Amino acid sequence: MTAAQAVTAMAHLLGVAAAIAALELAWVRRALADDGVFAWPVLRRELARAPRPLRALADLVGSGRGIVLVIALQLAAALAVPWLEHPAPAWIVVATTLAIAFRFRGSYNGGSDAMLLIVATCVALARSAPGTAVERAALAYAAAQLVLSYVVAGVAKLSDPAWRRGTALPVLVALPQYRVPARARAALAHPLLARLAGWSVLGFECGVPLALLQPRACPVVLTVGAVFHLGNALVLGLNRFLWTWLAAYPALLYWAQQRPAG
Amino acid sequence: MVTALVIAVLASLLARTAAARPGFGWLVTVFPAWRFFDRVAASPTLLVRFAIADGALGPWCPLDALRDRTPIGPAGSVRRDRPGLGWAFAPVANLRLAYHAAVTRFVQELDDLPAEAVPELAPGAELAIETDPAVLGLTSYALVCRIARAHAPAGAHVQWKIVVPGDPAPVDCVLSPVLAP
Repeated sequence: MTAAQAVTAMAHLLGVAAAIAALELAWVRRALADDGVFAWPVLRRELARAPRPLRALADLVGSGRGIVLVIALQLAAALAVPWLEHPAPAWIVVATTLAIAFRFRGSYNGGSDAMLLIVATCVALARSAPGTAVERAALAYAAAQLVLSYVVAGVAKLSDPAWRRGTALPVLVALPQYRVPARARAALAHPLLARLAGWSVLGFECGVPLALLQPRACPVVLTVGAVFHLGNALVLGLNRFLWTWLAAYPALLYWAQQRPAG
Repeated sequence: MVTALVIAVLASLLARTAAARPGFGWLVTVFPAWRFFDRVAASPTLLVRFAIADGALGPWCPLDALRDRTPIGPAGSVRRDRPGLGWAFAPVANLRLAYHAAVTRFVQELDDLPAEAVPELAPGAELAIETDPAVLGLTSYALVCRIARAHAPAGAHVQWKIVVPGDPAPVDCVLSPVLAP
């Protein structure tokens, strides 16, 4: 895979991820209206000490009407990014993702917003300077963040006795906010299965660096990763993580191939 | 590649510090910490009760048991908890997660307030209605009020409280005044 092919693959997957993010926000847009739960007149209080020009800009994009325009712009850019090689659509996805994160005091959907921003930035930089060191550096940054996303999460879990004992997953799937299907909760109520599933998560997350160290392992690791995210989407409802993480995979595939297989 | 890894780690560490300031929370999206479910435990729960007209307040209910009045989706669309395509497109589930994140953040912000602003509750004592301006002035407090109101019928008086995990039983954390319609 060449750098250009990796960027093209990322752009296609970014289009899907950003379009879903935009459509989901459009679906619940009334919660973002000026009389909705996430009303801008409430959220803007945190900018009381910000410089006036910044507050004016924030009012423009954060208000009930402004955020709908931001969402529409993100959707349009998401639809354009796979088909236009010009960097503008990718930069628009970067800008709108940042605007949405800013409006929600950090993020709307946690880590998936962060990975969406990383992939969009990578595609935007690569398309701004195709065939240069900037393109390779952008792919390196996306691949590095992808590897870190798994390793940091895995190592952090390892420090928790509940994960090591295999009792963490049954507790996790019982948390009401995820509305885990009853069948999945029942399956993970079996201690042996819960332990096996828990250690599978730990093993996968901590083992992701193998994809960089051993190029032949990369497709295997990423296939397991795709299944892992699909499982998370089905069981925990974390659908956006599936699309945004998949969008970063070509960067790791590209960089893994830069090491000779051995 | 190694340089990119080092930059990513350093940026994430720096962002942690800066993001604690109001208005800089978005830095965690630019430089994420990548910690997911590393401490699996019950999290704060928002309970809501309401009174219609001049009636008495009803029982405490978790959000899950109440209907979100926020009109969602195209007019007349049917809301389902986990529709068939929920693994790909889940706007309502993600809105609920955003509500939950707002409640969790409010409790974190209470923990960050100076100790005298949040007096310890004596064992067995009933939780007092929150009146501290330092708490009432938090953006997160206003958001939780709006989340609670969105889950009560239009025109109802609403009260909410947050219950946090405790040993041996969950502990009441904050009790709002009764909010007029």
